[in-house]
Amino acid sequence: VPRPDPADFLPLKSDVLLILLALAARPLHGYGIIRDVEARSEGQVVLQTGALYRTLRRLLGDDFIEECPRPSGEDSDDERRRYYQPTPLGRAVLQAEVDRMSRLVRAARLTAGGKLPRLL
Amino acid sequence: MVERLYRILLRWLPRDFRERFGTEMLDTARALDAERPRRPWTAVRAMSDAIVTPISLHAELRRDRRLATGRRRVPMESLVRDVGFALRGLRRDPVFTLFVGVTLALGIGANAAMFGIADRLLLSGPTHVQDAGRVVRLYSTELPPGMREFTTSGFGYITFDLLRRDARAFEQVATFARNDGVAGRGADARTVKVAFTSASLFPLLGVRPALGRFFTEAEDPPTGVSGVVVLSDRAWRDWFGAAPDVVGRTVTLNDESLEVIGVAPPGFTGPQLGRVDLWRPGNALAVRVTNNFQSAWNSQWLQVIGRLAPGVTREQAGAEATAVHRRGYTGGEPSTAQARLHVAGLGANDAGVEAIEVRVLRWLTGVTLVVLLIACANVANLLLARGVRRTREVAIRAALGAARWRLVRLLLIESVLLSLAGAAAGVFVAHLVGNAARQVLFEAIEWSSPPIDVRVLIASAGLAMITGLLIGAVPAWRASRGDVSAALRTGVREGGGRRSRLRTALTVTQAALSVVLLVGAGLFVKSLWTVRTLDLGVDADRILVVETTRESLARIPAGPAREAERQRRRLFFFEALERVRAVPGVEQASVAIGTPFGNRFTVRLRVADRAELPRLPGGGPGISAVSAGYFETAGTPIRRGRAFTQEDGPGTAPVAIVSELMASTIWPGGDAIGQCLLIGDGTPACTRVVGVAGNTYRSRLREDPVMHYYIPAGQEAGFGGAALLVRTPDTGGVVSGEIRRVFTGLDGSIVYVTAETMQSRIDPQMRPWRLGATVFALSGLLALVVAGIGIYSAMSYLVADRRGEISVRMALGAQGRDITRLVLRGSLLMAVAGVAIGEVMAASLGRYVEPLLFNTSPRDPVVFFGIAGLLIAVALAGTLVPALRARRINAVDALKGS
Repeated sequence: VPRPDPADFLPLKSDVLLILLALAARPLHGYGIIRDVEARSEGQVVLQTGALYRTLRRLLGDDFIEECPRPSGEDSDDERRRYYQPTPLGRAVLQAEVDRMSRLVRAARLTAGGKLPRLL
Repeated sequence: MVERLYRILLRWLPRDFRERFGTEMLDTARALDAERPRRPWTAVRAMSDAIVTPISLHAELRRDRRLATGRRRVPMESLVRDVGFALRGLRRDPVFTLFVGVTLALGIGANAAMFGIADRLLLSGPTHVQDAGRVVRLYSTELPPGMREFTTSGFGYITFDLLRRDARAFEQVATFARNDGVAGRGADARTVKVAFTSASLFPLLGVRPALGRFFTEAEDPPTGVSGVVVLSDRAWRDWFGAAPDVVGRTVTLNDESLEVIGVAPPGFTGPQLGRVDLWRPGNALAVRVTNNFQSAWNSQWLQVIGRLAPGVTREQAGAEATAVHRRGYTGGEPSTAQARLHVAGLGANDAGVEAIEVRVLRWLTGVTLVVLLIACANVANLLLARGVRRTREVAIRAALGAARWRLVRLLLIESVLLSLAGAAAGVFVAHLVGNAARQVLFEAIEWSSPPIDVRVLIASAGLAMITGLLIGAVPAWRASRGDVSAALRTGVREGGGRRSRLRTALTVTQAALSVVLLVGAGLFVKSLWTVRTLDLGVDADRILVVETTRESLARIPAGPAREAERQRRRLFFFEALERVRAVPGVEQASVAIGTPFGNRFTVRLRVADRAELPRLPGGGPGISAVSAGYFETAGTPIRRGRAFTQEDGPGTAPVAIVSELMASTIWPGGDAIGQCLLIGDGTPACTRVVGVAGNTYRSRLREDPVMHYYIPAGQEAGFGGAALLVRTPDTGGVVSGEIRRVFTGLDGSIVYVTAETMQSRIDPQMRPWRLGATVFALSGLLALVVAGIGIYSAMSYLVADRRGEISVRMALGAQGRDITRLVLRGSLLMAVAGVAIGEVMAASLGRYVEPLLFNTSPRDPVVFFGIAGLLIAVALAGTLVPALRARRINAVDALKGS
C-alpha cells in the first residue's frame, strides 16, 4: 500500500486545522475539543455540536485521527466519553499545512517590506 | 433545551452515524448546555446547526458513495466552495452588501412590478380568450363634411347582423356592450357593471363557464325580454358566498328579477379588461336604447367582436366588412354610407389605435428599465471600487497559483449572488409596488392574478442573472488582465488614473440617465398641473351631479296612467329643487338636460338670413336645457345680456343664451344678442338670443372647441334626461347623503340615487398624466438618490485614490481651500457632463413623448433648467463629505504610508 502524501490533503479548512492542533497537544473528548478550539482561536471559532461530529466522522474516515484510551489524570465521571488523538498521518498533514502557511506568511511579509501585511 | 434539540436531531441522522456518535453528541450537548449562559443567540446557532447537520451529512455520505463508485465531480465541489467564499466576503463588508442589495432590489423590483402589469396589458391581454391573436374588434372610420375624420368602435345591432349574415372573413361575430346597472333594492342597492352580449360571444372567445352554462341565442329574443343572468366569479363569491347551488337562484337587477344560469370563470371580462359583474343577453340593452334596434342606423351602442376565419388577414377582414357595410347601408348619412370598416386587436382603444394608457405604459416599462440600468451602473461602480481595494488580494492569489478563470469565476459568483439577493428583495418590492400601481393607477382593470406570478419570478430571476453577469464582467475582466507583479510591487492606492476614468464614465452615465428620467417627470408633472388648472368654464369640483334610477315604467299598464306617471317623473326634479336648495351646505341648485362631461345633445339649428352655419372641427353646436340658476350653479359666467329667470319656462317666449365661441363664430364682429335662432326641424318659431355665456368644455379635456347654446328647461323638444346640479363646498358626502334622503323620501319609485362630483367624471381622463407624473417622478427620485450616492462614492474613492497626490500638494503648501476646490471641480465636471448628455438625450426623445403631454412643450425650459439645477445641487451635496475629508488628509501620515 503506497503511503499517502500529506500534501494531497492541503489546504485544510480552518476548523479541521484547529481540531488537529487541539488534539496534537493532548487527547480530548468532544466537549473538550470545542472548548480548546474556542480558546485557541481566541473565541473566533465556536464549534457547534453537530458540525463537530460531522468533522470528526470525516477525520476518522480519512485516518487523520483515532480513538484512544482515556488519558490518566482526566477526571471524568462518565465512562461513555471517548477520546481522540491524531494518527501519524494526521500529524504529518498538520505539519505540512503549518509549513505551507508559514511560507505564505513569509511571502506576504517579503512583499510588505517585513511588516505584517494588511491585505484587505 | 439544547440537549432536547439534539435528541430530535438524532432521529434525522443516518443510522451509522447515530449509532457511532449519538450518545457522545448528547453528552457534549448536555455539557455545553450546563456550562454556557442561555442567550438567544446561542439557541439560534444551535438550532441552525441542528438543521444544517443532517442535510450536509447526507450530502457528504452521498458524495462518499459517489467517490467510491469512481464518479468524481470535483468542479461542483469547488463551485460550492467558491460560493461559500463569496458569501463570507460579502458578510465582511456589510455596508457595501446592503447598499448593492437595496439598489438592485429597487431596480429589479420596479421591473418585476412593471412586468406584471405590462404582461396583462400588453402581452397576454384579457384572460380566457383562446388564440387571442385571431380575435378582433371592428372599427369604422368616416369623414363627415367640414369635420375631422373620426374612428369609433360603436355600432348598431344592424352592422352585427349584416356581418353575421354576409361576411365570410369571420368565423364568428359577436356583440359586446357594458352598462351600469343597479343590483338589489333599497339599502342593499349598489351599482354594478353589466355586460350585454350576443350569445355567440362565449363560443367565439372560447371560454367555458365555471358553473352552469352561458345563455343561448334562444334566450336573447328580439323583444329583449329575457330573465337570465350569468354571474362573474366575483359576484358569485361576494353575493352568494361562492354557494355551489347558485344556479337557479335569483338576482335583482334594475328592479327586475333574474334567474342565475351560470358563473363565469375567475377573471373573465370578455374582450376587454374592465370589471364585469353580470352577463346579460345583448337585446335586453338594445330595446332600452332604441325601439327599432334591429333596423336603426342612427344609434351606436355596442362593439362588434369577430374571430377571423382561418387564413384571413386583418386587412382582408376589414375590406370585406367595408364592402358588406356599404352594400347593406340604408341610412341617410352620406359620410356613413362611405365609411371604411377595419379591424384591430383587443389591445386597441375605442378609436382603433393604441390606448393612451398602453402608450404611457410602454414608456413606463422603458423608464423602469432605465432605473435598472442606473442601478447596474451604480453597482458596477461600487464593485469596481471594491475591486481596486482587492487588487492585491487577487494578485496574491494569482501569484500563489490560483487559475485565472477561477478568480474570474469567484468575482462573477459574487456579483450573481448579489443580484440574486437583490432579486429576492426585489420580489418583495415588486409586490408592494405592483399592488399600489394596480390600485392607484389601473383601478378600472380587473386583475385576476396576484401581482407576482411564476413568470414574473422567472423574468426577475433572469434579469438578476443577466445583471449579475453584466456587473461582474467589468471587475472580472479587469482582474483577469491584471499585471500580477505590478500589482504586488506598487501600493494599492497608486495607479488610479486609468481605473477612475471608467468609474467617472459610469457616474456620468448614471447622472445622464437620471436627468432623462427627471426631465420626463418634470414634463408629466407640468402636464398634470396644466390639466388640473385648466379653466373648464365650470367649477367641476364644486358641483354634484345627481341622477336617479327608477322602477320600470313597464310595470304600469300602458295608457293614461303610464303617461301621467311619465309626466310626473319629468317634473319631479323641478319640484325637488326647492327642497334641495334648503339642504344645509347647498349654495345653489338647478336642473339641466345636457351637462358638461355628461349627456351631449345636438338638434337641427338654423339662423335666420343664413343658408348654412359655419362648422367647427369639434362638431356641434350642442344644446342644453337648463333651469333658472344654472349659470350660478355651474360657475359659468354670463359675459353679456342676462341669465334665465323663473319667468323663462314652458309656454313663455322662447329665448336662448349662446357661448362666446358660438357668438363670435356665427356673428363675427356683430352682436349676438337679439339674433334669431331656428331650433328643430320644420318651421320653428324664432328663439331670441338674450345672453352670451363663457365657453365650457363639453366632454373631453382634449377637445376641439365646441359651440354651445342653452335654452330654458321646459322649452326643449326632442331630447330629455334631466340631472340635478348642486353647487356645494362640501362634496365629501354629507350633502350628497342628505340629498339622497330627500329624494327617496319624496318619491317611492326611486330605486337608487347617484350623486357624484362632476370632477369625478373628469378624473379618468386625467389618468394618463397622473400615471406618467407618478411613475416618472418616483423613478426619477429613485434615480436621483442613486445618482447622488454614486457621485458620493465616486468622489470618496477619488479622494482615497489621490491621497498621495493631495498630500504632496499639501506638503508643497496648498491650502485646504485649494484642495476643496480640486475635489469640487471634479464632481462639478461629472455633474455638468451628466446634465449635458442627459438633457440632449431628453430633448431628442421629446418628440416621442410629446403626444402624451398636455399643452406642455417637450422642451419646456423651466423643466430643463430646473432639473439641471437640481442635479448639480445633489452632486454638490454628495461631494461635501469627501471634500471635507480631503482637507483633513494629513500629509505626513499619507506620505509615510506609501
